[in-house]
Amino acid sequence: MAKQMPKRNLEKVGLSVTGACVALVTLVVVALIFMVAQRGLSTFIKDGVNVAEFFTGTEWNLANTNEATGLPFTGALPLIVTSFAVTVISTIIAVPIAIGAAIFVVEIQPKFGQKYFQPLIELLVGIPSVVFGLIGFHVIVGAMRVIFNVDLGLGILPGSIVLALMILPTVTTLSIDALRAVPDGYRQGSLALGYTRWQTIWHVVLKSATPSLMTAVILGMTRAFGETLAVRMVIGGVEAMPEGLLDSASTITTTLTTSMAVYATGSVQNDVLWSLGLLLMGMSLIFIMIIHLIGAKGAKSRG
Amino acid sequence: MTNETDQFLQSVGSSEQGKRVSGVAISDEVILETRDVNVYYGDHHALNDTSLKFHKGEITALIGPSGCGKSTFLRSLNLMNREIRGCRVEGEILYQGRNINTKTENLYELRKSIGMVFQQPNPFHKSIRENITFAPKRHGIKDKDILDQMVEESLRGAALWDEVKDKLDKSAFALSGGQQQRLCIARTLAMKPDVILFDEPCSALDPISTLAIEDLMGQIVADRAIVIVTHNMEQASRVSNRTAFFYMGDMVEYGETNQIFQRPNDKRLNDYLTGMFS
Ligand SMILES: Nc1ncnc2c1ncn2[C@@H]1O[C@H](COP(=O)(O)OP(=O)(O)O)[C@@H](O)[C@H]1O
Ligand SMILES: [Mg+2]
Repeated sequence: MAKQMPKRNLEKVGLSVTGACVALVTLVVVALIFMVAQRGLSTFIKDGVNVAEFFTGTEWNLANTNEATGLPFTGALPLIVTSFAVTVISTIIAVPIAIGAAIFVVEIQPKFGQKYFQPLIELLVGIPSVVFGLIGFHVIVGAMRVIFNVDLGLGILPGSIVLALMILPTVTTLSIDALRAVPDGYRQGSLALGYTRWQTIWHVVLKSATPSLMTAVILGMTRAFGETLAVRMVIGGVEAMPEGLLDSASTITTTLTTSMAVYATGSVQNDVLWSLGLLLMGMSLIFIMIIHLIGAKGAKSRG
Repeated sequence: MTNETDQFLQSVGSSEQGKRVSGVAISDEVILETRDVNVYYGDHHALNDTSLKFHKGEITALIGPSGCGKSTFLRSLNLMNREIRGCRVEGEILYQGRNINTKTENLYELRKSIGMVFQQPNPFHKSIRENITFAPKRHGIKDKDILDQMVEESLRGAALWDEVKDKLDKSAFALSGGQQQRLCIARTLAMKPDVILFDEPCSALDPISTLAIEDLMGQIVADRAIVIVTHNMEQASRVSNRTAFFYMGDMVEYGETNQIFQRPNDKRLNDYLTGMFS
C-alpha cells in the first residue's frame, strides 16, 4: 500500500486546489464581463453610435446604412420594448397560476402536493425550451389565428404564453417553498384569533411569504427575459416596433441569434450586437440585485 | 436584561396586593365544561371520555407525561382540532351551557371568546400595534381611536405597555422571547375572551420571563377561566386552583391543586409526582 500522505501536505494540497478553483472561476467571470463590456461599449466609443439613439431609436436595420450618419440603423427600442413586453406579460400570466397552485398544494392538500404535484412540476422544469417552442408554434400560434382571426398569429402574445408555460414550473416550485417556509405558528395564531382558513392564507401566509414570493417572481422574470429559442419560434422575427400583441416582433435575444453570424468581427453591426449582450447582462444584474435587496430587507425585518 | 428584571419585579409587587392563587377552588361558576369528550386522529384514539369543568376566576392546570393527550384535549376546547386533517372530536363541549361541538357552531366567532396561547411565542411578522389590532380588525372594528385604545388596554393588561409604548410601530420580532409571549397574551386579551387556553406557554422561556407570565396569569384570571397545560410541576402548583392529571389518553385524577400534589389518590399520579417517570 502506498504511504499515506503526511497530514500537513494534504492541508497544503487541499488549500491550493480549492484556491485554484476559486481563482479560475473569478478569472472567467471577470474576463467575461470585461470582454462583453469592452466589445459592447466600443459601439459607442469607437464606432460613434449615439447612446441615446441606441436606447430610444425606433429603427433597427443592420443591413442598410443611414445616409445621415453613415452608420446602420441601430435604434434598439423596438427590441427592448418587445423583450420587456414578453417578460411582463408572461409574468402576469404565470404568477397568479403559480401562487394559486402553491396555495392549493401547501395549504389545502399537502398530501396530494407532495405525492403527485411536485414530481409533475419537477418533470416540467427539465423540458428543453425547444419543446415549448414547438408546442407554441403548432398549438398556441394556431389557437391565436382561430381565436383572434389573424393571418399569422405570431407576436408578443404567443411569445408571452410560451414563456409563461416555461417559467410556470420554476415560479410554482419556488412559491411552494416560500409558503412552506411560513412557520406553522403563524397559521395557528391566526386561526386561534378567529380568522378563517382563507383569511389566514390571505392576511398571514401570503403576507409573510411576500419577500420570498417576490424572489420567485423575479427569478421567473429573469428567465423569461433571457429565454431565446422558444420565443424565436413564435414571435415572428420582425425587427420593428410591434403595433400590437399579435404583430410580428423581435426581442433582444432573438435578434442576437439571428444576426450573430452575419457580420464580421469588428464591424459596427457586430459591435452593436455585443451592446445588446451587454444590455442583457446589465438587466440580469439588476434582477439579481433586486433579489438580494429583498433578501436583505427580509432578513433585517426578521431582525 | 436588568430593565426587564426591574419591570418584572415591579409587576410582581403590584399583583401581590391582588389575589394570589392558593391551590384551592374559589368559584362555582362554570364557564366551560366537557362531557365524555373523545378525540381520534384517524384510527388512533388519543383521548378517552374526558369530562371536566372550568370555573370563572380559576386557573386549571393539565399535567401528565408527554403524549398523554393534554394538548389534544386543550385544542378540543376552542375547536382547533377541526383544523387538523383526520382529527375527530366526539362528546359535548359546553360553553356558557351551550354545546359548541356541533356542525353549525361558528368556530371563528367562538374563538373570540376562547383564546389560545401557544408554546412557542408566535407573534405575526408585523408591528407590535398590528399584532394587537389583527383580531379586532377581523371582527369588524375599524375606528382608529377604538383600535388605539384597545392596543393600550391590551398591552397594559399583559404588563407590556411600559416596555413597548414608545415602539408600537416596530416589528414584534425585535422583542425578547418573554415579551413576545406577553404580546401574544395581549393580542388574545384584545378580544376580551371568557376563556384563555395556554399550551406550555413558558417552556421556551427563561425563568424570569416564566415568572412574569405566571404572575400575569394571576392578574388576568379574575373575570375568566384559564386552562394551562404544563410540564412544570412547580408551575402547576404555583399558579393553579385545580389540576387534572392525564395518563395515556385518560383523565385519571382531578381535584384542587393542593390535594392533587399533597394527597394524590391514583398510583400513577403519585409515581408521576415522585418522578418515577416523566
Ligand atoms: N396532529 C396529530 N396527528 C396525529 N396524531 C397526533 C396529533 N397530535 C397529537 N397526536 C397524538 O395524540 C397523542 C396525544 O398527543 P398530545 O395531545 O400532543 O400529547 P401531550 O400534549 O400530552 O404531550 C399522541 O399519541 C400523539 O402522537
Ligand atoms: Mg402538548
